Amino acid sequence: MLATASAPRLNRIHDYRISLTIAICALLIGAYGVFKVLVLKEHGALTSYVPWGLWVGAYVFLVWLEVGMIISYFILRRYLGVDGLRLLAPVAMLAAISALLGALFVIAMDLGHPFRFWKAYLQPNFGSLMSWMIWLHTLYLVILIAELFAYFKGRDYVDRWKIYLNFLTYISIPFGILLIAVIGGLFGVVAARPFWNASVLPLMFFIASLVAGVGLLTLLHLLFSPTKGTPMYEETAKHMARIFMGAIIIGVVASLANGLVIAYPNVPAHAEGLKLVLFGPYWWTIWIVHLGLGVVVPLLLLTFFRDKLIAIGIAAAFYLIGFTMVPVNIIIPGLAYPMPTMEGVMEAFSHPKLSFEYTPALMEWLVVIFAVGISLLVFTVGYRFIVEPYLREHH
Amino acid sequence: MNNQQSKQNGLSRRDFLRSSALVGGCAALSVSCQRAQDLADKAESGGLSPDQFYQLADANNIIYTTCMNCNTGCGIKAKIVDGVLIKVDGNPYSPWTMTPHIDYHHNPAKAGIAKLDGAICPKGQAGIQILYDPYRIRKVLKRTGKRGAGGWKSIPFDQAIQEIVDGGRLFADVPGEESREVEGLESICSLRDPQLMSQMRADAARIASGEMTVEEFKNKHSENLQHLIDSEHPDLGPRNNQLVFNWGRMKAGRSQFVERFISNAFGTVNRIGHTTVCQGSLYFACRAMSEQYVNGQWSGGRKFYWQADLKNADFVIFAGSNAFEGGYGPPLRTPKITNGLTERRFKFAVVDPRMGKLGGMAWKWVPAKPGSEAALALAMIRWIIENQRYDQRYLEAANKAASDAVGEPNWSNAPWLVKMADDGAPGDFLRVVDLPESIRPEGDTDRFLVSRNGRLIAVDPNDAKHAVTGDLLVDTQVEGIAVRSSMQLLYESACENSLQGWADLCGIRERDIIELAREFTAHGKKAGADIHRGVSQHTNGYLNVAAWMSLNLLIGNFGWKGGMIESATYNASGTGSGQPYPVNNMHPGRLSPFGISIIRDRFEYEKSTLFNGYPSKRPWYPLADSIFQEVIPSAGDAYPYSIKALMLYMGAPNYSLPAGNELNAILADTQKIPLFIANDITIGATSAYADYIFPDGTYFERWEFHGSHGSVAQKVQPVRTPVVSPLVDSCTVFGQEMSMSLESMMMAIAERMGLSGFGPDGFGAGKELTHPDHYYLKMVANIAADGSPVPDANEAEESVFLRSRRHISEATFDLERWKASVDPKWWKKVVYVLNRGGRFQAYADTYRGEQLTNAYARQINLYCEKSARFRNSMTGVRYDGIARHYPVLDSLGRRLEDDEKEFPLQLSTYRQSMQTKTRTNSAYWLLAVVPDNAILMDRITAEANGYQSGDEVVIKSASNPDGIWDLGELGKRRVVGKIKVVEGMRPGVVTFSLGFGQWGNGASDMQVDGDVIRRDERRARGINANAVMTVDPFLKNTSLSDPIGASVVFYDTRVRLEAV
Amino acid sequence: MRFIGTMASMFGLGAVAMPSLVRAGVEAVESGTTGTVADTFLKDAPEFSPEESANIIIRMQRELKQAMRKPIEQRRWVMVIDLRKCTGCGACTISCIAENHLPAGVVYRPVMEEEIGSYPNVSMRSIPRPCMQCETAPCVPVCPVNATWIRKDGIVDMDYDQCIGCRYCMTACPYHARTFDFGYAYTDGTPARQPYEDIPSFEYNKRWSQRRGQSPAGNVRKCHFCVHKLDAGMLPSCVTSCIGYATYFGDASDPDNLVAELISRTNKIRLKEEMGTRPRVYYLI
Ligand SMILES: Nc1nc2c(c(=O)[nH]1)N[C@H]1C(S)=C(S)[C@@H](COP(=O)(O)OP(=O)(O)OC[C@H]3O[C@@H](n4cnc5c(=O)[nH]c(N)nc54)[C@H](O)[C@@H]3O)O[C@H]1N2
Ligand SMILES: Nc1nc2c(c(=O)[nH]1)N[C@H]1C(S)=C(S)[C@@H](COP(=O)(O)OP(=O)(O)OC[C@H]3O[C@@H](n4cnc5c(=O)[nH]c(N)nc54)[C@H](O)[C@@H]3O)O[C@H]1N2
Ligand code: SF4
Ligand code: SF4
Ligand code: SF4
Ligand code: SF4
Ligand code: SF4
Ligand SMILES: [Mo]
Repeated sequence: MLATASAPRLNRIHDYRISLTIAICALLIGAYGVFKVLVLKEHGALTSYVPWGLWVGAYVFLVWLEVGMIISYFILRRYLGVDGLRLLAPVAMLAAISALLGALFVIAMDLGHPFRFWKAYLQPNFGSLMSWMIWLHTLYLVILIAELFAYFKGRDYVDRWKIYLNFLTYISIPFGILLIAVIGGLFGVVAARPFWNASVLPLMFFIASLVAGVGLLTLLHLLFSPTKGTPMYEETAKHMARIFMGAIIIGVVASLANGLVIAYPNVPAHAEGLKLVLFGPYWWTIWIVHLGLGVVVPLLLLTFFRDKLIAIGIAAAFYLIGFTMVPVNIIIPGLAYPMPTMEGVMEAFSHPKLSFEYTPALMEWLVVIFAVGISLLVFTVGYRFIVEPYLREHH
Repeated sequence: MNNQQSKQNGLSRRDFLRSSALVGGCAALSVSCQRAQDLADKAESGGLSPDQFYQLADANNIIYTTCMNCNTGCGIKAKIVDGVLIKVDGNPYSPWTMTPHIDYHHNPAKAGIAKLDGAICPKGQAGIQILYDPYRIRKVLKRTGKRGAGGWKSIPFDQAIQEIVDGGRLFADVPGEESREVEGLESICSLRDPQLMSQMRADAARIASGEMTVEEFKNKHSENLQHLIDSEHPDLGPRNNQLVFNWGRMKAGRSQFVERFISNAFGTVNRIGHTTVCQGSLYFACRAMSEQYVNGQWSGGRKFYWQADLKNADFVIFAGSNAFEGGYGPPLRTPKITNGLTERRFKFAVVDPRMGKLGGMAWKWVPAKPGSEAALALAMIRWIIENQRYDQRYLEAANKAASDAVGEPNWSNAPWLVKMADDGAPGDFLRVVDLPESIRPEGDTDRFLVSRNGRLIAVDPNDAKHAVTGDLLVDTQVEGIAVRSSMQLLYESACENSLQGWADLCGIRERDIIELAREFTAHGKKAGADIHRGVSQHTNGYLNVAAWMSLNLLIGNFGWKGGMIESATYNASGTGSGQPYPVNNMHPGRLSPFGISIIRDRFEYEKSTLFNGYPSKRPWYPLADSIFQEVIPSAGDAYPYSIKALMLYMGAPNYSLPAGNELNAILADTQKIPLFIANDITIGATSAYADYIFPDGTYFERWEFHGSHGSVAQKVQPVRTPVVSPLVDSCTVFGQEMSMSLESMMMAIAERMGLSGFGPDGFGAGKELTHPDHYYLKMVANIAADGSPVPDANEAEESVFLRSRRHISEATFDLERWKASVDPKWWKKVVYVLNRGGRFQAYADTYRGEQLTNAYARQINLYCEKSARFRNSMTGVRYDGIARHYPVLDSLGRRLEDDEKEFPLQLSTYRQSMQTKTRTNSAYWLLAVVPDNAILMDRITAEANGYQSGDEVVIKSASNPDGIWDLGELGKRRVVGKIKVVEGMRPGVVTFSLGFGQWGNGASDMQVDGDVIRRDERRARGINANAVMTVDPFLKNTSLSDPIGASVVFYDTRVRLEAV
Repeated sequence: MRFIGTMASMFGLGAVAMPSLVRAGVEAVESGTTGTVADTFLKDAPEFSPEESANIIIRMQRELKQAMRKPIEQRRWVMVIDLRKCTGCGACTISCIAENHLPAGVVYRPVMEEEIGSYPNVSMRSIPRPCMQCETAPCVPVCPVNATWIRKDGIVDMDYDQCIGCRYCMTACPYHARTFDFGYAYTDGTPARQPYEDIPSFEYNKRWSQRRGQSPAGNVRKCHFCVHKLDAGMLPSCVTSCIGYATYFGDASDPDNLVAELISRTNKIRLKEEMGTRPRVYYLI
């Protein structure tokens, strides 16, 4: 079912020099942040009471996106029959690999001792979901790389590489689900943080990740699909737009359900985080950026201009931009208020680093930009030197 | 400390000290880090057990000394690693920091003692940050611009001494002062002949007593009149008096040293402390109550006050006494209270407009109106007398024999009869001599009289043989003279109002008064009223104190276990019998200064040649001394004379005094204070206005003997001794190297001027006083010798003594010099005392049966005849001899008519456990807990005015309608603070804690040697509202004061808050 | 947080923590110290009279020494804080900072305050909050590298050299008892950094520098019941410095210990008992 369609003409829409320039600029700009972390040992605006912030948010965002994309690719191809995505496979895999590398970088920068990152591999505690996260993340990365490798090697059904590829594809799915669940669980199990400690959190993470994955896939299709220029290209795009719209709606419903679970019992400690999200100092991130730009605008575009490729592209891009606000709006509000009965700690001892207020510092953004730079660089180089030649050669 | 080293230490050039005039860097550090590494290596290789590894458990790294971050004087253990003080804990030998404390004879060389720590308060813990304060100065600073403008240069010590001694155009480089000639100390110290000074002194006393006229004086001393300030007023004394030495905090040892230099060598009477800013009226009321009648005179009144024996009391009322956070002091009083609470022994009430931590744990918090303290006490007195709940047996005893007979440690004059004077007020006691000869009892006619069942009986108070008891409530006529017993006078004073009337005055319920009085009288002698600043720092402070102490007297709790304690100390000055070194008597050529002091203390206006009817230009204080608020304003008004030089030590009057901002203009005025020398550890709030600042060692780098407080039942003497090498530079005086300090400054002046009492023959021919150690070690020997001498230190102890000081440089610790300071037979005893941080009586010896071993065992005056003989120099009205309630009055005795509408709130102040005045703003640890103070406001007022916690407001008063701190050259600052809304405040009263709102000590930018020393923003936070406190409308440059006890007034200002 | 374990086994891999080398090393030190310590302080123990021994500090110190003679797994350290006696003075907070050379921004034992009631019926309560040394410490299983664990005597221990500074444990502690060492010094930025901020600390019986970039900077830190002092036969600093005599410490497994008496009363509570953390810090109310 994979290789039956006639080979489309490869369309070179991707000028790698643009993205290379962007990647290098990002690395140059971001380097200052990395310098601050590694040399000056600074930790941005993080505090002892809000110990995780933008970096962890960026990490979660990137992992969600990539894992969600890989899984939704699988679902779309296998079960929803979106065949037009067939040739996007190596692009998607490469995108996932590069983003996962960036994610790994950003989370390493978040450590107080980044150079001890190896300990997480060699002296792990598998009772900790964080160990699972790091190991799974890495394994997943290895699987994807292997998958990509097998993809390039595999010729036909009887080729052992093809068999490997099939096998890898199948195991990458549960690993991906596990990774997302573990990241969700990582927050969800923290009983101390009522806002996180909801049993639906891993599920929420999974849904969010899928929706974002569909969005990213749509965008990747529009930008990088080798089918560009064929009728299949547009058909696939429209097909995906419909699926994407459904996904967004499911995502919103799931968030609502989650919000209700938190708010309904009206336990102040639980509702506090939600209140912060909805009405706190950064209310606009959720209302305007996420819901306004990221949900309402795409839904409108997808409803009224569902046949316009550009509209679909914008909708997907907007969704992804708005979606950046989701992880930070789960992580930070879970931390940004004292835990029940511990309210007095705020007054008991003071230091700028003993604060429940947190707004990411410039240097934190720079580090994220650096990480994005890494991802982009890997993607560009990979695309230019591996994916593109391969596609050119074979199709 | 050079660049090379600093690089080795890993310090960047950036944080390395910019100006060598400030203390900084850490020469010992590269060494110490290496040693630390070695140790760690050793430990890891198994060469050290944990308790060897943990250097703070090693007796060789511990020196016992005494804290002075506040004035409580807790015993501490200074723990030192590689020459750096890194931990301060309580000294278990000291009753301050361990309850009960361990026996004095335990050997401190034993690990078990080294590992036993007592408890001290957070300020004491943070003392490390007073020592290692990046803003400390290490060289003498001289101002380069106008006073208070913040420009300084460091100059060599010897040059500084030469300049201040010789005088001249010292500030020729300062614009406006090019031609100003400064008179040096050499010239001020005019009269140096001890004989002549004594003669003139005696004759000046004759002028006061009317035995000699001014003309006669002038004729007799015609050749020496040039030494006088004013030959028309010889009683002002010699020109030497124009040097004024003023201090904020000084304890025994330093205090004798200063006396030696200032009074006995330099010959000025102006050696003035700061008692009245603390609790002066408390001291002076108790001094009046403790005056003894000996040889026809009231004398021997002790400057002290009683405090409650919290360890054994069943019930205590804390009135304006902040036992958990201020007071003397948290480490020794808190455990007695808290243990008492959980043992269910103890119950307490708090009379305070602010609940605070103490009120928050009290059985009863009584937020009476500020200023109504006497009213509340008198109300209780009335109820107690009317319900006969006083200790009749005790009170009826009229002399020593009678008190012995009833097993009391002391007696009062409650039954003595007082004559009502012509002005209608009580006057002198009725004496035998007042009776017609026909009915006079046999014997001495100077005896007093009591009435017993209608019969008059003569009393000799000190008679230990013939017990006399008298009736308590007597109101009668004796031979046509109206007389009342002292107790009757108290009762009448208490009857000036009904209970309900008093309750209204206090703004509380009548029920509260009765409950307090009932509880107070329900525990026999095991109850007490423990009072402090909240009672004494009012215009009616002295009489407030008298009322509360009278209340104590009614239950006769003085000297009883669980009652009231008088402190007892081992004498350091050596004047006791069996003591080897009466240091200040060992002073060849010693001067006895004379004259009226600049603050007119202990002198009657009427007896001075300045008497010119009422009011006097500024108040006189015959009963008080150390009147802090009078020093600078009097210099400003040149009354009674102008001054030529001011030396300030460890005080910051412009910050700490109410209306202290009024001082800045005077301090900056080179006409009024031509030479201003400060001795300080930083550029402080007041020393910022000085001409010269001499660096001093902190309390970790120097000597002192801290003395005791009323809440310590044992006989004690805590010793303060250097524990690290002083961080300041050294100087050479009398050929000896020593670190710069108050002592070296004085000794260098003495050396240059050739003053007596210092140098190779300072203590007498061949007995040198060329280093402060010579002085202080003798005092340690005195302590060791007091009573039955302490044992000798054994070898182990001597070794610990030495090894624990191995890091101290020779300028400070030189074994040979130390040993040579005392006779060899005392040396091992000196070591014994120093090894324990002082001398402390055993806990087991504290009580004898139900009484205190060191019980107050003399007379207590309910009626103070001596006080009632003096007049208020402003109004001409006689002082009261018995407790009475007065409203808030100004210096002319007028009621303050502040508009309550315009100024609806009353301003108060308090301390909290994390801060102490102008010097803990360098303690960053404390600032992390309390970074800022606030204006505490009750919720009711806040709601009525729409205030919320965090609102910024400016405080304004009638005296300071703009709410401005005028700091002169340093600029103007608004009195702004943040509101904190609480439940535990009396509605209508707002308060703020001491220690914030600073401009000194690193809170302002300064220039030193051309470098800008930037202020540290953390040190400048919060509010000090002293600037808005009421200025006396007549005096204009001084706050309100208590006319009798001289307390400066902190709590009687009405204010208005305005949002900023 | 057995939940994590359960979840882990759900995933089919089991929740067996990989014992790290570091961990083993620490255990060796722990058991090694027991012998040496007891010997030294027995030798040097002063004889205290019954009157002196009435002082609870002396009593607790004696009890501590006895406990230290037992094998580590038989000790059960417990801290008891009597809120009726705590005046909120903060001596313990500062003492702990000095003892452990805590840099700016790190605190092990803040004291929380609350006013109760309304005028004129008001009172005040202060609640010191050390690490609760939870018996089921939520901060422990979350650590990805076994840098924090429960010692055999119940103390929740840490290894700064092992800790990677991920701060997961901070999010898991329901008491805000863990703070991150950002490497700040109190006197940085003043005219001169001061020597007391450079002398290494003794925590966990090692010497820890106070330089940014070196552990413990970059690590999470918390109260450890002053293990280095216990090993030297001394009470924790916050206990000896408590001027309210409100903080007690001892081995609850010994019925003669003061703490064992205190925690047998009805007025004892533990903070956030509902979290199931089973703190070893008890409060008396
Ligand atoms: N933390 C700390 N402790 C210190 C010091 C320090 O600076 N900081 N300094 C030491 C020194 S020098 C001194 S003199 C002592 C002072 O010790 P205290 O006198 O005990 O302390 P304060 O807090 O100044 O004031 C006492 C109490 O009076 C209350 N008060 C205010 N106005 C009134 C009033 O009108 N009526 C009544 N009844 N009460 C009132 C205040 O709220 C406060 O609780 O403390 C010593 N101990
Ligand atoms: N609002 C308000 N004001 C108050 C009070 C209050 O309760 N509320 N309390 C009052 C009371 S009780 C008092 S005692 C006064 C205290 O007020 P002051 O007697 O003025 O005392 P400090 O502020 O302690 O004086 C500090 C000066 O001494 C310097 N210094 C510190 N240590 C040393 C040393 O070892 N040697 C030398 N040479 N100098 C040193 C400091 O640098 C600083 O310049 O404040 C009073 N002011
Ligand atoms: S109360 Fe505190 S600051 Fe005052 S002397 Fe004692 S330990 Fe030092
Ligand atoms: S209090 Fe917090 S840090 Fe301490 S053991 Fe419990 S969970 Fe861990
Ligand atoms: S910060 Fe350190 S101790 Fe805490 S979970 Fe991470 S590695 Fe473990
Ligand atoms: S036990 Fe030690 S580490 Fe813990 S709070 Fe007390 S002093 Fe600090
Ligand atoms: S030292 Fe004691 S009394 Fe003071 S706050 Fe700490 S626990 Fe409470
Ligand atoms: Mo004071």
